Amino acid sequence: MIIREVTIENFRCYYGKNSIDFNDGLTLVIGDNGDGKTTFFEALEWLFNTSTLSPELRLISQKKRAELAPSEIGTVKVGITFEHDGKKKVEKSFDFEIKNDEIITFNSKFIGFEEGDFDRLSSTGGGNILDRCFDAAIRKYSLFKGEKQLNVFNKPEAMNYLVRTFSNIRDFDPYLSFSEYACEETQKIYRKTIRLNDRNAVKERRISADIKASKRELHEKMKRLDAIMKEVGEYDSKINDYERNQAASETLNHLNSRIESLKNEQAKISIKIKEDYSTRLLDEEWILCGFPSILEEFDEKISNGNKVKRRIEQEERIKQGRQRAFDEISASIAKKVLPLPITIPDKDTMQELLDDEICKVCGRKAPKGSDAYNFMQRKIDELNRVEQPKEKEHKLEEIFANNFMKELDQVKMSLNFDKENLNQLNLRIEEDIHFNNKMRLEGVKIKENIVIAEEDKMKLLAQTDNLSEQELENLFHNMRNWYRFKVDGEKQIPMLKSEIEKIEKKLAGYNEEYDKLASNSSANIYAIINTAFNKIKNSFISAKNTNTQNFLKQLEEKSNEYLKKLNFEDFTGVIHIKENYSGGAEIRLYDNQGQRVHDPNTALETTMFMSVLFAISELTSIRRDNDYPLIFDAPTSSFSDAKEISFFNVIANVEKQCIIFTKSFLKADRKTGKNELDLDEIDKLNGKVYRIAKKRPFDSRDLSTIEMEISQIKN
Amino acid sequence: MTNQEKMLNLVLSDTDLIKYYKLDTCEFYSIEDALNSDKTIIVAIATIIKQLNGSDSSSKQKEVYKQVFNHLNNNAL
Repeated sequence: MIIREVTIENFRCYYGKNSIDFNDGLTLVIGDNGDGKTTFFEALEWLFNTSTLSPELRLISQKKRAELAPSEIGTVKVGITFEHDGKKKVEKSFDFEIKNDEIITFNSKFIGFEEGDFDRLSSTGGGNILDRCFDAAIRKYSLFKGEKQLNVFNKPEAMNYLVRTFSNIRDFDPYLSFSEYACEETQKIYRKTIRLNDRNAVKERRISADIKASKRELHEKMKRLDAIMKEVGEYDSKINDYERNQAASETLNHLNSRIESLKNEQAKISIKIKEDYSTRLLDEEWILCGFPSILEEFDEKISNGNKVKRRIEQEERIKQGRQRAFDEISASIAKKVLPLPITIPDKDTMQELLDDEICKVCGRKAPKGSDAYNFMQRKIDELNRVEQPKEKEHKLEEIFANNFMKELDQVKMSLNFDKENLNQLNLRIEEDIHFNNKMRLEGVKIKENIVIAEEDKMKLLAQTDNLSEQELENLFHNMRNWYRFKVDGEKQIPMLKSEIEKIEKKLAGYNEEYDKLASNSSANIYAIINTAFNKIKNSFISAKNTNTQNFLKQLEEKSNEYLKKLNFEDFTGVIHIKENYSGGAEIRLYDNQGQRVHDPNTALETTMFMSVLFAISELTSIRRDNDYPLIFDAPTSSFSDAKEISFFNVIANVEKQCIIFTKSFLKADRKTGKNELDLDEIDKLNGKVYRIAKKRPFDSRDLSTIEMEISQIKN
Repeated sequence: MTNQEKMLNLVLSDTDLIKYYKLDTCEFYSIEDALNSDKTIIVAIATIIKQLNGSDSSSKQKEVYKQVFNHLNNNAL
């Protein structure tokens, strides 16, 4: 199949009718990001999907949709003209219109035309023509989006599929199934015939039992071997995954370990930081830290209060003394007699006069109860009263009856003691806040480091083979076990094989013995026929295995030829394609010393997979006498400019139709800053070149103004 | 060379088969050559490949089995 023309009409950003002609060799379709390369590729994918006709609204050109008048009908169509046993054309399309502001689709078609009757529709339809000329098997090895899809052996069933589809000899399975059936049938006949002879019957039963037991044993061993081989294959595949992602897996482990350690450190720091200042304000009496000035003021007030109290007391004492003197003088004045001072005569003299009941001043008697005696008695009472100061104080204390000043004095004394503590509290608060700030700063630094490590992790995961973090972690943590399981399994395989060999020999002996039963009897011919069918069965099995090995060998040889071409004057290594234990295959790169290149750069890996694809394609064209195109969307994103250009030149010289969508050959114009085609480099290229780009002007926020235009740059 | 011829020759290249039935290792066989061979086993294998023709239907298997069985029965190896 050689594609001659592709037509795209109103398919997403391809407004109206757009066509591209293709050469036998290389055709490059150059477009910048967002210029419709992938959409073109997807249009082909949509066309080649023969399993469904269902129209999708998302495929309709927004520009066409916006322009559509009421009752006007639009059409989305992708068509291809190609050569395959003559010229053929297929078109997939559907119509659409707007009704009640809703878009509805109808009239889905998949039509085909064939040469000789090109004006008339093929009765088989477009899907059938495509399936016949470019079947699903080949399509899987024809269209590739990006670099990651290029490893065709990624899927476990790929190996069988490739061998079945592209190997030298196809369809072994029905013959194997037939051989199995034939062996069982002849065995039955042979057994029946042997048992016809009574002499042989007992012996036959014994040998049959031995054969049955040996077969059972063999079956068990084979089953065990198969399981171990599968396990080894699975571990091998896991180890391969690990080896391919070893660096990433180890880096992820280091990053995770660093993140965990940083988070622990962060947690420790956050525990150390005690910023519950509000609580500590009361619980730890931090609130008192502002009190020293208040205490000083309190002290001062108490001192002043005491002074005031003493002054008041003094004044009161004077006032009361004065009042009393005043009262006494007033009484004397009232009697018009000036009394002697209270101390004349003194207290002892007065007491003597009272005891003797005589006034020794005038010499008259003063018996008890007389006026003179009573006078003297009052005088001495007065004197005694004057001499009793406590009575006076009692009167003064009544002014400050509640003793508050004394209590305040006691409070002041106790607060003097706390002043020391308060000074220490201030120091402690200062230290604590300083410590918290320091810890907080360290916390911020740790947080920054965590963010950096997390970002590194995200970048790492984005670059890693579509593996999740969990899968990468598993690779790292389980790797040792996988190696151990694989080695253990590999040790068991030869042992089991040897045991199987022994059982097979034993079985062969029983079979020989069984066959001898038939000697010189009518059963002999059935023994011979039975042996013949067994030999035929084994020959078919052996042929199938040889065919697979031959296919892989050829594929390997061809792949290495392409690898050399695609990496001209560069390190290539050697591609090895090996069948693995689980029946699949693996593509690996080795150097010429036989050392595996575990982590080839992406460009080398891409060329390695592409070489295998070119080899598959070539083998197919040899096997099937027809060719098919290889269509790649951005397969060279990891290539350097120089590598990319030489790569395209190599492909241009390979006899193979190859259609590549790329953004190569675009370089920024120094004046305008826009990407322009590097026409000098394009001129050197041996192939057809198209440019696809958005038609200008357009509104960057309105999808209905977007329209692609295709221009041919080189024929 | 057709797929059947490739298959026939690959099956006939099996060393155990060659040794057991003393076959000529160098000879190339077309399907017709093989069907006309004087070696019963070669005819049997060619018959299987030609008659089965890649079919996996059980009725076809039975039919081919009878044909090959009769051939082997009538032409002692």
